[in-house]
This record gives sequence, C-alpha cells and structure tokens, in this order.
Amino acid sequence: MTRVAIEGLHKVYRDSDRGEDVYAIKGIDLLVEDGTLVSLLGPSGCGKTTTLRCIAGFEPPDGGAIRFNDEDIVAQPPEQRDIGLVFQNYALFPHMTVAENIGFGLEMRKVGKADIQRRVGEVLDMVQMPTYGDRYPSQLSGGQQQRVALARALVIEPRVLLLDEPLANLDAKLREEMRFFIRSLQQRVGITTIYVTHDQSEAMVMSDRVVVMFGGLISQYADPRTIYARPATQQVAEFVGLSNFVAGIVSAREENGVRVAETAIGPLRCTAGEGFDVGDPALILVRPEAISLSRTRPDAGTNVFQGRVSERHFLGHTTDYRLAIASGNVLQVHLNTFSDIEPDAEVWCSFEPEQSWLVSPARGAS
Amino acid sequence: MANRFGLGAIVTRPLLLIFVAAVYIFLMAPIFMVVLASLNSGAYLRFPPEGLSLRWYVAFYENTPFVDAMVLSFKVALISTLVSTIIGTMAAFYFARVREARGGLRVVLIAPILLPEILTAIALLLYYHQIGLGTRSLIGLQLGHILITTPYVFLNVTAGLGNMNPSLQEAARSLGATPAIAFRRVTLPLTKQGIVNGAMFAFIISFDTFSISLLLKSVDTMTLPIQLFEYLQWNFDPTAAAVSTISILITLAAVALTDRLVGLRVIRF
Amino acid sequence: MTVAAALPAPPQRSRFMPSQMVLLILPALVLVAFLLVIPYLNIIVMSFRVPATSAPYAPGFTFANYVRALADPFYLAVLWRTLVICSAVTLICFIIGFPVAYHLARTKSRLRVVLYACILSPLLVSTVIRLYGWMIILANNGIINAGLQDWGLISQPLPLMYNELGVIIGLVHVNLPFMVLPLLGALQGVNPVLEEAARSLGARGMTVMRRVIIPLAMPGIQAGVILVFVMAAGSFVTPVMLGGSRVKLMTPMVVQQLTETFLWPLGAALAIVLSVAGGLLILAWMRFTQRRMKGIA
Repeated sequence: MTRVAIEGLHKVYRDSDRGEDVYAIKGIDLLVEDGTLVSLLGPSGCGKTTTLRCIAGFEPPDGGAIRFNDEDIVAQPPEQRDIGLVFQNYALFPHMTVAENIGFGLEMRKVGKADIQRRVGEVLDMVQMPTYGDRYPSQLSGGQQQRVALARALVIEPRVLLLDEPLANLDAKLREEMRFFIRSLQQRVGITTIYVTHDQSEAMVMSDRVVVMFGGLISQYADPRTIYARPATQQVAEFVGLSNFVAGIVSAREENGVRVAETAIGPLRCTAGEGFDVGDPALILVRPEAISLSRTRPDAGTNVFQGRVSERHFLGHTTDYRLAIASGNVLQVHLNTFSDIEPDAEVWCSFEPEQSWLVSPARGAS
Repeated sequence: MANRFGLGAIVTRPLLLIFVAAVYIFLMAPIFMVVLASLNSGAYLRFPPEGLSLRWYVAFYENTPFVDAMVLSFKVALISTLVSTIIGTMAAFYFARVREARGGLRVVLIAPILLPEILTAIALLLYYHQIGLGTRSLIGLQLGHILITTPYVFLNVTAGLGNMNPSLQEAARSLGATPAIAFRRVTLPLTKQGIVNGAMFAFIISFDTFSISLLLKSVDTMTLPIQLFEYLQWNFDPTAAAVSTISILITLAAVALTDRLVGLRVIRF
Repeated sequence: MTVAAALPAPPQRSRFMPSQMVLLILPALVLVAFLLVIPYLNIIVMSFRVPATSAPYAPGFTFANYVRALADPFYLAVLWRTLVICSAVTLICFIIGFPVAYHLARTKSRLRVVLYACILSPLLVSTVIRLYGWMIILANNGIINAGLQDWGLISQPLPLMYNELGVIIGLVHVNLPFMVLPLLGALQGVNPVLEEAARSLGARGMTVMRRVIIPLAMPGIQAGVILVFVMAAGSFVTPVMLGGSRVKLMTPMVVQQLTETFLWPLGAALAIVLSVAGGLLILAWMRFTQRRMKGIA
C-alpha cells in the first residue's frame, strides 16, 4: 500500500566541458496513487530516467522531496528504500543462477533458506518459468531474462516497482507480448508501478495514467485517452500519435466548450479546454482517423471542406491518404483499408467537432 | 560458398595461406627446437634426431647454479605476483570508483611497461647505487620486478571492471545490499577473472624478465634467465635446453592453472 | 541559474569519500614515484654530471657528455646503425605481420584459438630461451648449416648469426607479436561489410586493401609500429646473443658503459640521446599517420 508523491524535484548536472550547470529536471510534482501503473513518457533527454533514478536513490536530487506514503525517502540509500527495479539491460548477475538471482533480495532481507526456496519457486511460477531455476542468465533468451528480472524485483514484495525501458532490447513481437504480461502481472500483484518509456504506444497500452515530459518538465499528466484526444500542448500532440494541425483564429464561443475558428478552409467548429477567447490564435488538432472522406458532399452542416488525394499508401490494417486542401496544407487521413479512393480524386472531407481539439500554437511555430 | 566472391576469397587465397603458415612456423620454430634439443641424446640437434634421452634433464638436476637460479626465480616471481596483484587491483578499483580520475594518471601507472625495460633497469641501477641500496641484496631486484609486473595486473583488472555492466551494482543495491555487500557479492566475484589473469601475467613476466634482473643482479641473485644467459656465453650443450623446457613448462602450468580457476581472458591491445 | 540559488543544498550522501579512495591508489603511486619517476629524473641529472675516474662522477655539472656523445663519429655511427636496424625490423614486422593479422581477424577456421595462442605464446617464453632456440637453428654447427653440409650443398657454414642478419631475425621474432596484436585489434574493428561495399562498387582485392582496409586499420598500424620500434631500440639481449661483439648497437653499448667501464654520466647521456632520437622518429611517424586517421580514432 504505497502512494508515491514527488514534490518540486530538481536535478542539476555539471557540464564540465562547458563549465556550467545543466538542469535535467526543472521542478516536478507528481502523485502516483497506490496500486496504479504510471508511465513516464518522453523523448531521450527529457528527464524521465533521471526522475526514476532519483526515486530509486541512484541520483541525489538537488531539491525537492520524494515521499512514499508521506515518508520522505530522499536521504535514504537505495538499499533501504524497499523498491523493485528492472533495468533496460536486465542487470542479472551473470555469476549467479536464475534462482540465486531471484533469491538475492530475500537473502539481503535475512529470509530463511527454506522460505527463500519456496518464494523463488512461487515467483518463477508466476513468470511462467518454473523449470529455469538452475540456469545461468547467459543461457536464457532476452524475453526470459526480462521475466527473471521482473521476478527478482517482485519477489521482495517492494513498496514500489520501477521499470526503466524494460522492453527496449526485445524484438517487436516479444515486446508486444511482454506489454500485456507486465500489465496483467502488475494488476494481479496490485503494486504501485512507475514505468519509463519513450514508446508512446507502450505507455498507452499499459498505463493507468501517463506523464508526458519534455525538457525536464511535465507537459501533461492524465489517463491515456485524455493524452491522446485532449493533449495539453502541440508538443504532446505531436509526440503521441499522428496529428493534423490547421491554424486559425477563434471567432466565437459556443455551448459545451465548442469554439468556432476562422481558417484558410473556412470556419471550423471544434472542442477546446480552458481559455481560447475570441481573437486568440489556435491550432485545430484532428487525428488522421477522425476525418472521413466521401465523393459527394456530405449532409452535415459544419466542418466540411474539399481536398484532392495526392498520395495513397497501403499500410495493411488501414490505408494512408495525403490530401491537398485549399489552405495549402497536406492532411493525413487514415481510412479502412477496404475503401477505394483513387489518387487525384477530388473528395469531400469532414470531421465531428468532438473529435477535434484546440491547442495553442507552440512559440516560434508558424 | 557465399564467400567465393566476397572478401572471404582473399582469406582463402592459397598464396596468403602459405605465407601465413610460414610465419606461424617462424614464430614457433625456436621454441620447438629448444624442446626437441632437450630430448635429443646428442650434444647437437640434427635431423633426424639421434635418439630420445633424458640425460640433459639429469645434467640440469646436477647443475647447482641452475637449480638455485630456478628456485630463486620462482620465489621472486611469487612475491612479485602477490604484491603487484594487491597494488594493481587496488589501483584498478580506484579508477572504477573515482570517475573524475585523470587519463594522465593512468598513463603514469602503466608507464613501466610503456618505457623500454632496459632504460628502467639502467635508471634503477644508478638510483640504487646513489641511495646506497646497491645490488647486494635481493630487495632492489624484487622491487624492480614488482614495478614492471604491477601494470599487467592493473590493466587486466581494469579491463574486467570496464566490461562489467554498471547496473549490476545498482541492481544489488535496489535489492537491499549495502555498498559493501554489493562489492563482495557482485563486484568482486565478477572481477576475479581479471585479477587471476593479471596475477598470471605478473608471475610469468617476473619469471621470464631479463633486463631488470641483469642489471640489478648480484652473485646471490642470479635469476633463471640470467643464469641461462651467462651459461650460453660459454657453453652450448643441451643442459640449457632442458632448463628452458622446464621453464616453459612452469609458464604453461601457470596458464593452465589460471584457465582451470577462472578461464583465460582474451588479451587485446 | 537563479533557480539553483533558490534550491536547498543537495543532501550529503555516502556514495564515496574521496579521501578514502585515495588510499586505493596510494601504493601504486608510491611505487611508480620512487621506482620510476625519481630514477628517470636521476638519469637526466646524471647525464650532466662531470665524469671522474675514481668515483662514478665528480661535483659540478657540464654539457661535455652530450658533446662527446654527439660529436664522436663512433657513437654517431652506432646510433645511426641502431636506428636503421630498428626501422628495418619494424618494416619487416609490418610486412609479415599484416597478412597474419588480417587472416586471423577474418578466418572462421576452428583453429582460430590455436592460431591466436601461437601469436601470444612467444610472449610467455623468456626472450633468452627464444634466442637460444635461434642459436640452435642458426649457429655454425646449428641445424641449417649442418643440414646443408650433410647434403653437400655447402662446404663452409653460412654466417647466419653473430652478424646483422642474426640480429634482425632475432628482433623480428621477438617483436612480431607486438605488431600482430594491435593490427588484429584494429582489423577486427573493421566491419567486413565495408569490404563488401567496396567490392560492390567495383574495387578489386588489392584496391580494397589499399583504399579501405589499411586506412581503417591505421590506428592499429600506428600503435604496432611504435611498439615494435621502441621494443627493438631498447633491446639488449637480442643483439648480444645473436650479434655477438661484432654488431654494435646503442643499447648494449650503453649498458657496457655503465656496468663495465662505469662511465655513468656518459652512459646516461648516450641513453638520453638514443631516447630522444627514437622519440623524434616516433613523433614524425605520428604526425605522418595522424593526417591519415581523420574521422577514425
């Protein structure tokens, strides 16, 4: 039963080449509720791994607090924090067998030999590797090593499980499987888990909530659906999934957060959060699968405009169309593979206001 | 098959293979000849050899200076190994722990094997005489050996530590091990191979080294290579071959022991 | 930076205490300082001492030793011969070492490990023993001469040792591993795919070697050449055992000055002259190769 709270976390690195301090984390506040899985998602260098290492105790923060259930653990060395840590490269001890690796943490906790044996056996069953106890890590495949690393972290029944890009070294098919495996294991054990990844689909599939980080700051902290459909910034929208942006100026506010924006392809109605008063510049985000195409003009009154198919790419489960529209933009549209619109065809486009979202244009972007 | 038109074709070109084989023969020939001469019954090695005999080994056993020299070399090598293994391993751990350690410091530590050994021997000879240590005792010679064997231990242990995944120590800490326990349970066992290999090199280098021993020797401190050298100045009989063969066998035993204990590391430059 | 000022000081952590860590390196530092740094500085000082007959040196300092070392045509001839022979040995080691290293780097033969051990094994056998082996082969009553005489091909033994030929054979043998090992390291780092790429672009075997492999192996070539040259220039036992008294090289002569005639200041000056001359050659070689290594090391 552990809730993790991070308050005002800072971390500074000394760049000895340039002789100046560089911020890796610029002040992070985060609350991870008990038993949930929260992903730290962002490009490399965004501070997600540094945050994790601060929680694990391998990086001393330069400011702020990290609390497990109100107890500030910043001053504690890693071995007293009672955490389970899974590394990107697994970090299995090569000179110990699988059973010895898994038993190591219990041994450190002075658990009796018989108990260790029993609990190692249980956790090996849990990761579906009951017969592998006597093997050495070098005799295991990448996926098996991954599961042993998980077992080793879980067997000590830590207060918090920390995973640092654990699937990055696996091939695509195995990675897919392990996502579901880790998620179901986490839900079965009910352990508070913080998961670092740069893979947005991984974060979407596995998490209760996702933290999107850029440049040492949190851009958005929300459930995966909100991150995708209602991104807080243009940067978040671009990092998570594919995006079309149409620039415009807010011209009217309507009921239910709907705004009307004047754009180069006419007025468009879309959904927005706080702010966005009349006269504000805005970008309308429409995901490629939110746009529908038809040869004839649809009956719907709003958000209808014309375009010409400039490219068509077959992706398997969908077909990717590039549409040239009047504003000069190119829109990306994903349609059911079995639709057949020829390149160069003139088509009508439309989208529902609730399937679009207004974001503020990033500074410096046109 | 796939290599017929690739670069593999160069490697299997007969001319290259013949050339390479000739170089290997060139490398191994003198060692082979020494062993053969020690087992040959005649005083000069001829083809075909005159007959198998152990008489030169008997001659060695009866030659007190050779036996004394071998015992002395063995003792000196053991002490060098012990001391340089401790010093070199400690230094390697310093570099593994202190990330800010300068590259220059590293070069200083391995300088004894970068500088020509004879120059070091000359420097030590003059220095010993000036500080009054002289070459009458074994201490000067022993210190010289430790000086040139320590870098081998340092390099081997450093290589072992460098290959170690730094996450391993963190993994141990995250599982509840204190830094001391993480060192004893994880770092040390994984460094063992580097340490033992370094110790093996220290032993072999000390046992075989010539220049340091030649300049720092005294009447009481004739190591085996020096005794062999002096002997060959005036004699050419295969007693020297028997001595050499035994010396080679001692070296091989050190290698074999290392292999049995921890496995041999691949040496890279 | 203003944010940093507002932050509390980082908590003290027990990661390591530098003062304790220094104890780890202290013994090695003491060893090198007292047995290497000071003795080497001592040689430099010694080379400026005034020579004397009754004691190793007289009080005062002088340049006379260097003047003598550099002006005496005898010493200059020895120095020149030393540098020429060492350069020749280095070149021969490269010419015969490169194919061996290339073969070993690329072969998939099961004998790979054995071959690697063959390269290394001479390092594990005392130089004296290896040279003794060459004496058994090359001496007047050695295997080659005896064999040739038995077959009636020659009546007088060929002079194979106690001359420059013997010294070069010995030096090449003793130092070849120091050429092959760095070359091997470098060549293993050259991705074979690059060679295939060069071939696919139309380069023939020798062109691939000259335009792709050798340039990429340059760091190894540079290291091997320096190692072998230094080792050869500093070799004492090889010229003595296989050259006898006829082939005068610098290092044996310096040792002789020090241990037989006790001319310490002159001996020290000669040792420094050889080191500086060798050092200059190595520097020139490094400048020559550095320009060819842009983008590699």
